[in-house]
Amino acid sequence: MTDALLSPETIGSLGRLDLIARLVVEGFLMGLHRSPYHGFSAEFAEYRQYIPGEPVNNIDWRLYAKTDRHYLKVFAEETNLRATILVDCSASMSYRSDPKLPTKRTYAAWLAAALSYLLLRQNDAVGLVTFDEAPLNRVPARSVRRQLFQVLKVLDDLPAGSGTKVGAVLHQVAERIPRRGLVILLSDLMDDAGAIIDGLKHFRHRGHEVLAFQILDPREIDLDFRGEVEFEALEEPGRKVRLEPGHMGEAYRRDFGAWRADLRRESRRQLVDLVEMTTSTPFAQGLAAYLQKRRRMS
Amino acid sequence: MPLSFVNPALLFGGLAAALPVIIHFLSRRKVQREKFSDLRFLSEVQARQTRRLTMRRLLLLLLRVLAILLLTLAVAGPRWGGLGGGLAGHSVLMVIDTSASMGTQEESGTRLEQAVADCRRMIGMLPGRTSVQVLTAGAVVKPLLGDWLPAGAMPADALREVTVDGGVFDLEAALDEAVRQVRGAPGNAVDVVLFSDLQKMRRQADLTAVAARLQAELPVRILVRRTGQPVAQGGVLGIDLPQRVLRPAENIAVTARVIPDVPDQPFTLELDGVDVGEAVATGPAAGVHTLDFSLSVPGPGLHRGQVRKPSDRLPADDVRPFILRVPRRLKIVLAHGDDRPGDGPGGRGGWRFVQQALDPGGMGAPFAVEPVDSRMLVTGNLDQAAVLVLVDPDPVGRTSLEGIEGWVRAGGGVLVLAGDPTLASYLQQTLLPGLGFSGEKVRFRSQEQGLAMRLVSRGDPLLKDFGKDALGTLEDVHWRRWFSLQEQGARVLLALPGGDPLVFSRDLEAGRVMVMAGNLLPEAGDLAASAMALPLLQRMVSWLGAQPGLSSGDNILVGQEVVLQPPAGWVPGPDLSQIMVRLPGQAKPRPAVLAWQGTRPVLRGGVATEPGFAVFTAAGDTLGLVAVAMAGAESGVALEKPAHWLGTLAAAGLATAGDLSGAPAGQLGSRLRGRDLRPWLFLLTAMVLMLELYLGRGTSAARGDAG
Repeated sequence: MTDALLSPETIGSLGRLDLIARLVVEGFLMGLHRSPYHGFSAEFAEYRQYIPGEPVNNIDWRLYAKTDRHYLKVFAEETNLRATILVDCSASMSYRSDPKLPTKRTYAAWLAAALSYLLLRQNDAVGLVTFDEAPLNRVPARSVRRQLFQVLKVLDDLPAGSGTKVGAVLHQVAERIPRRGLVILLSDLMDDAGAIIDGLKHFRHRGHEVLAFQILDPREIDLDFRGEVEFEALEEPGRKVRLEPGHMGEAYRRDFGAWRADLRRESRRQLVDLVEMTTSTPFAQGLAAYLQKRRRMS
Repeated sequence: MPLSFVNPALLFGGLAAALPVIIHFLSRRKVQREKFSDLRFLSEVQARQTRRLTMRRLLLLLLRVLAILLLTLAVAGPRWGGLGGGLAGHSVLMVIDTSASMGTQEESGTRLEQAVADCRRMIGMLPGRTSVQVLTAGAVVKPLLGDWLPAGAMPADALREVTVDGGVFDLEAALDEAVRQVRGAPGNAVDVVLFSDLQKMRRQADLTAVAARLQAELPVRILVRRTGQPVAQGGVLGIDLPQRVLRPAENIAVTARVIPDVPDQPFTLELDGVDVGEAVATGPAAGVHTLDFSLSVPGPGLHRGQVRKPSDRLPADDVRPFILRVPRRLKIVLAHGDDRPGDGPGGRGGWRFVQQALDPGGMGAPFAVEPVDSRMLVTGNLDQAAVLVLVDPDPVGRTSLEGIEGWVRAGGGVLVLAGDPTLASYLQQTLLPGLGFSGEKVRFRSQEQGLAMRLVSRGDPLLKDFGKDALGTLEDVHWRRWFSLQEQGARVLLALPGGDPLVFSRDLEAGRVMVMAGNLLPEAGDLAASAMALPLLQRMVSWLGAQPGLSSGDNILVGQEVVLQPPAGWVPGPDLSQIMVRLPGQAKPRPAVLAWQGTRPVLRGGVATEPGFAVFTAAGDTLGLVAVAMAGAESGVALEKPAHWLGTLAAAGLATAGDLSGAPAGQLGSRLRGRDLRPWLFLLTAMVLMLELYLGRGTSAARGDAG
């Protein structure tokens, strides 16, 4: 039920990104009561005295009723995590095979929004970097509630980038994130596997935890086309390849699968969590992956 | 061609093989255009797979075309190695050799029984819609069925009536009848299957004309099925009797040409049911031997004789019948001119020499010569006479000449010997025109050195049995005086250098006239002094006195018509139905046909199909006998190979389909129709389709093309 509600087709009809983020996260948290991830995200740690001027959201009103004092609920991870979300805006991310499905970039934006909402709801700091061949926009990580609007504003207006140089961009971004934290990469990772892994290594070298979401369109995986097709590259307009997927699909799937397997293997070796998603995958899977990561970090 | 089709028209379905090609090219024009995120993997796959894919697509295309072609071939009913028969639109004409040699007994029955069994089996194997006709070809060639019938029980049952008829297989006659049958054959082609032992033909037939007529009717293919194996067998090929009038009590040699089947085989001469002689064919078996039997000629009359050998596998030729005709002494009327002082002891024109040559005296003399002065000759002299000999006659009265002419036309024979220069005018104006010649340009010629006589035709019946020495002696005869008589249409026997005929003859209705343009005086020529004078004169007179149209002994062969000239003076009675003939091998006599040759009656008894004696009777009286013998061509072991016959037929312009000989009986149908390739082609088609499915699995739907 929750998965259905959080499916990309349903979420896409909402239109506004803030609504999408909220609905996704709240729906997800509701589902957690029945999920194996129960209790991970909002782990209560202690109470501390309320200082005037702080948000009143976390005041424990029951305790106030008993003690007539204001105490705030403090969660374990409350101030330990600085998350930076990297969203790939390259031309390849604008691909979608079915009008009912979002583009990979849109999907990444939605997922980034939901993650941001979830992170900020847990009082973590969230930052955002968009890139194609180079970083495009950067929102420094903060944990204030306004941060969500800053992030959503950027995500709501993601540019259609050109080519992809994920590996090079990762090196640049790694140098610009001052404190250790969580790096969440949303990309189709359509680049040389070695360069990507090198970039991820850089993050690891700087002490970051890395959670990479590889977002693909279902047809990029199965190449389910009929007849003879002339493919034109989104990142290189004018470059065309004509073939018959019916005949060559198997070889394509074999090569593509091998490439993904390389990414998985190398990611595992570098202790990078790689989550493979398609644009038809419910967002819950992505949020759950984040919570798992978050728990390990705690 | 080894490949044939039951329904060749269906091969046009093979054009459907173009459909996959057309669909293939049409479908290739539909190209879908898609934008895609990254072409890296697609490019690699394309670079790696394009050639393989192209090859695979071509292979698939070929497989589809091949599948359609194979299916088309299968539906058309292909047969491999078929020699014909049973194909769509083909009728089958079975020709069964029923000649005497087909009666040869072998381990599995006679050759004919084997041939009939093969034919019956083949008919049973033909498709039911195939039209069949059967010809039996021996002494006579005739269709066994009233009309073409569908293959099945009826034609097969009719084969029970096929029997050996003792004649000679005549390929030309068989094909001639085949022309008539093919003309009425249903369908658009005829396969002629010849069942025969392929006995070597003694006469090389000219098949070109009949082959052309046969092919003009319908496309015809000839197949041969040889029945029987060469086996040692002999027979009596022929009997030669003296070609002259026989005299009672004289000793003659009866010559038999035989083939023994064992070394030193004895042969027996039988006359009137009594063994009268024996001769042994010394030496190895096989090959033609000539045996001479010594025979003392019995009294006047017709005598039944036969030469026989111990029976072998072909009994039909082990006994060869003949008739020995011993005539009563022929009466010869010798009309001569009146002797003159210079004629010498031979008389006018040497007539006494002629008398002495023909009638040397004694009971055995063949001729009873009655000399008469030509001036005294009247037609009454010719009563009971067989031949009138005129030797330099004085002019015969016109009335007498007219009587002589009528006598000749009724069957008499006249020999004119004229060498006296004074006769030129009489010959030209009276005598020769009266005997049916033109009598023009009669010129008396003389040559002091003499001219050697020339034999115009060594094969003439008059000269046929003279040996080489005898003929050489004749050519040594020189002539110094003769008449130059140029007669159109006369049969010239002897001539002189320069073209003057010396002895010539012609038929005058039922009679015969012979003229020698010289006489027997020494100053005319050397004939009287030649050793050949007597044989030649006797032969000439015998020929004139013989019944025209009948050979000595009236011996004929199976397959020929039995004909008899009744005895001279016989007059048919009012009830012609009483004239009967009983043919050899037939228990009951049947009516004979009375015909006329001029003023002489001739009896026709039909074609004899078995050897033996044909007996003509009229109101219970025997009119005559005819000996019917099996042709010598049927004797012997010479069976030819089918290829030789097929080559002969092909050389004549006939299409030959092949040889069925040697095929086991159970495989005749498949040899005729060929091996059915349909199951194999269907299987191959299924395999090709399975291969196509395997290679194109999961891709045909994705491609969205039907090709």
